[in-house]
Amino acid sequence: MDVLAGISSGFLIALTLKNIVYCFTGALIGTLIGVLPGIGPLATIAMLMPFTYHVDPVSSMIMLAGIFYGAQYGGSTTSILLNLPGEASSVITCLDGHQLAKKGKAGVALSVAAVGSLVAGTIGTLAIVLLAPMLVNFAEKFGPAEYCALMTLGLVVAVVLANGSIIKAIAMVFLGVLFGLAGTDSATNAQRYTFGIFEMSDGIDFVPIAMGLFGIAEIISNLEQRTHAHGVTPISSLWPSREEIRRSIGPVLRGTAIGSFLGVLPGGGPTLAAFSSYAVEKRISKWPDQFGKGAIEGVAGPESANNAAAQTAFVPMLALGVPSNAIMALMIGAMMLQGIQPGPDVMTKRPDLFWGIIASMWVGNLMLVVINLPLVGIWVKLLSVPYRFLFPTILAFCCIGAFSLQSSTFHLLMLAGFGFLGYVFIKLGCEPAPFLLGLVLGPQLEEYFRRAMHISRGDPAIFVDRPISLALFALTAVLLILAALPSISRARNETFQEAA
Amino acid sequence: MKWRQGNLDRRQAMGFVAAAALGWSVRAHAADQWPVRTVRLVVPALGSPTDVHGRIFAEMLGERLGQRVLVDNKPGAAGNLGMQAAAVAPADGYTFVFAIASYITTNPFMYQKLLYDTERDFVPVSILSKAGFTFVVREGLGIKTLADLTSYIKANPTKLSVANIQPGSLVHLAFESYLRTFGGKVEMIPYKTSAQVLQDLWGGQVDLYPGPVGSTRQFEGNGKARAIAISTIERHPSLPEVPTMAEQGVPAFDFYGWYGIFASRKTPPAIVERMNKEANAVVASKEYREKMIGIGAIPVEPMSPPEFKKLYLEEMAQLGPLIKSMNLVIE
Repeated sequence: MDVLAGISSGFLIALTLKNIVYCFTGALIGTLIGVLPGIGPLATIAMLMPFTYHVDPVSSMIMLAGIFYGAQYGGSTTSILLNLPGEASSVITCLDGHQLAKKGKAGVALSVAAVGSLVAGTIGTLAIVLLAPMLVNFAEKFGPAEYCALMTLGLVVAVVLANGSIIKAIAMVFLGVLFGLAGTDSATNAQRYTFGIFEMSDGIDFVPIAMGLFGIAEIISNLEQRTHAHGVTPISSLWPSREEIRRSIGPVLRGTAIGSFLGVLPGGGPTLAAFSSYAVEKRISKWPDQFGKGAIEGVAGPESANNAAAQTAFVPMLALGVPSNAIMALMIGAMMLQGIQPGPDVMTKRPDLFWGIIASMWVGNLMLVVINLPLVGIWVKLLSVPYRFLFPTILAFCCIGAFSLQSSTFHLLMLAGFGFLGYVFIKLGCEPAPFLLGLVLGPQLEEYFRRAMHISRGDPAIFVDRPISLALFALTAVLLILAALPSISRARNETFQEAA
Repeated sequence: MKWRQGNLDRRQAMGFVAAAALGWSVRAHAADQWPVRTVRLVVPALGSPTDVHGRIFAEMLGERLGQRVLVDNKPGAAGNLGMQAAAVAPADGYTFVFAIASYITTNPFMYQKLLYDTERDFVPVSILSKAGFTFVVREGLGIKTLADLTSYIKANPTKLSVANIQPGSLVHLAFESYLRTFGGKVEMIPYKTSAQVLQDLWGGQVDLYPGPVGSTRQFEGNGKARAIAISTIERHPSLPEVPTMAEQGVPAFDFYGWYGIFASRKTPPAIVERMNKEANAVVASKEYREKMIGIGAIPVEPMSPPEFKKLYLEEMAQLGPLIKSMNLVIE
């Protein structure tokens, strides 16, 4: 019953007035930066770290953690309203979230995203408490071969989740992978596709690409259709109907499970979780043709998945001192500044810190819903702002976000370039989501593939000798076959429907 | 063109246009009034131990100067972007760069093209601390000492998998120097982050990690890996039981990185001198030294700018030939 004693002592710490205030501050800041495109939690936490020196470690970590998961909540807002993903993990929310907004259901999408995130946050926190040791052990079994298999699966998923032509989706994935190859080669330091531009030597930044392909391209395309510019639909309802709630329950739970698992893996995290959840929902949905046109499942699943992953990303950090992403690495830095050496003994040496943070996550998630639900009404009103005022504002925010990455005009040029590319994609009927997944996963696929081949000294048998890797590749093969034979499965579905 | 860009950078860093406007009038002020406004410390890293170190230093320096020292994170391109930002900033004594050793001692040999030139763009101000490395081996190989490692590598050429983050990093050079003492051959496995290494070391995918002292405890934490040697000439207070290379039969083996601050070449000498004095006071303080040990770094005796320069010129004379012989040069 250590766990029970631990979590109750954690709540005693998290529910002191001081820590509630810090938790609320963190969650609020997180929400705000999540809403602002380009300004991410990484930069914000780095900037705020000096203010936490003189605060006690538990309170400062509670606040910094709040910024991180708060940003996951906020990130969905602009995705849904403006087709403008603020974070990599909310790209997928654009697909159906923005379509719902166009149908006048922005409020529905926003509230489902918020409540789904709360459920995911609650279950994710529970998962940390109960499963931390098990999840960590499982993550250890994930060597380069397994990651390579996981990334392959992810890329195939990107094809499966496309709404239109499979050929185009495959082409977009490959194009994304190609763009992702730009940067420094990890084994030799050689510069690839950088054209001597130093800003490109760490690869192409994700933020200007996502903003360009989605946000800017959407603006160009909207301005083109001037007659019914923006197509403001009267807001039909703010809150989801009973039917919509019923349809969301399954995706929220499945998304939470996927996110809780992927969040623990270094490098996996919220983005992969959101993409995977979307693909799963689309696969098992009774209405797969609604996806991409405003399916509530396409918001509920990924939004739950990315929030659950944001919670469980703390597991390796708190339990072992292993950062699963750059933000966790920064949190470790914050802990070291406070004189706490992160590592497996944090749980025993500083139980107040460990349990205090975990309890505060649940408190923080509840606060986020309290912050976000009343805002839904306000956000939705944004849509009734005439487009001629709205679009310059969006452009300005995109530019600020892109510039703030490295205070460099280089990223503004990238934003413009990818905005134009996104417009070309729209004209060609190509979807940007598979492109982005290729961009994110491609370099990782290469990295893990090469590492696995290095470790096996060039023997590809490493991918089939290891059971988890073999299983993942088998699953990929099954998905590929299913995708390659859409006519068969469709015909079969129709037969079933007619028979019923 | 370059000048304009530098000005923009500084303005952004300070956050207010007003403060930047103030900057114009300040340039005429004499060094004895320095500093009259926020001092900017460019840190070419974000969210790493280097960033953490930079922030500790900035905080303590700010207390001494009576002015805020603002950390401006400019990560990217192996320090190139941050060093360039500092190089093109006005030489008015309000921009300094927090450099790690590799920007000064190895980058010039590794990259045919750099965005900065230490001699042309910078003057040294102060060395802040050093940081050594440990060789961490996974359990299960039966390797408990450096002698065990050496005989294992000799008996099984190219069998040992060694995790390598960033080819040509100081820790890579340290490990290569060790291998060269007996002509050992291993397989270097490319990694990007220490978290990936940690996972694979514990999972038995990779055998050895030459990494920073600061993360050693994390790696050893659950008994699945152990540090067998430290690369500096002395043991580290945070790892008293880990013996040095010299103690284990590799005489005079001493590899470490350092942290230091540099100023733009044309910064008024009086300001450089004052900054050296203030930075050295921080370096000598008990609080700073304790913090350095906490993050795995080594406190140093304060140095004057010429002493600091002598140190890194000597290192360059040693590391340059080593890098060239390893075929690490990047076009």
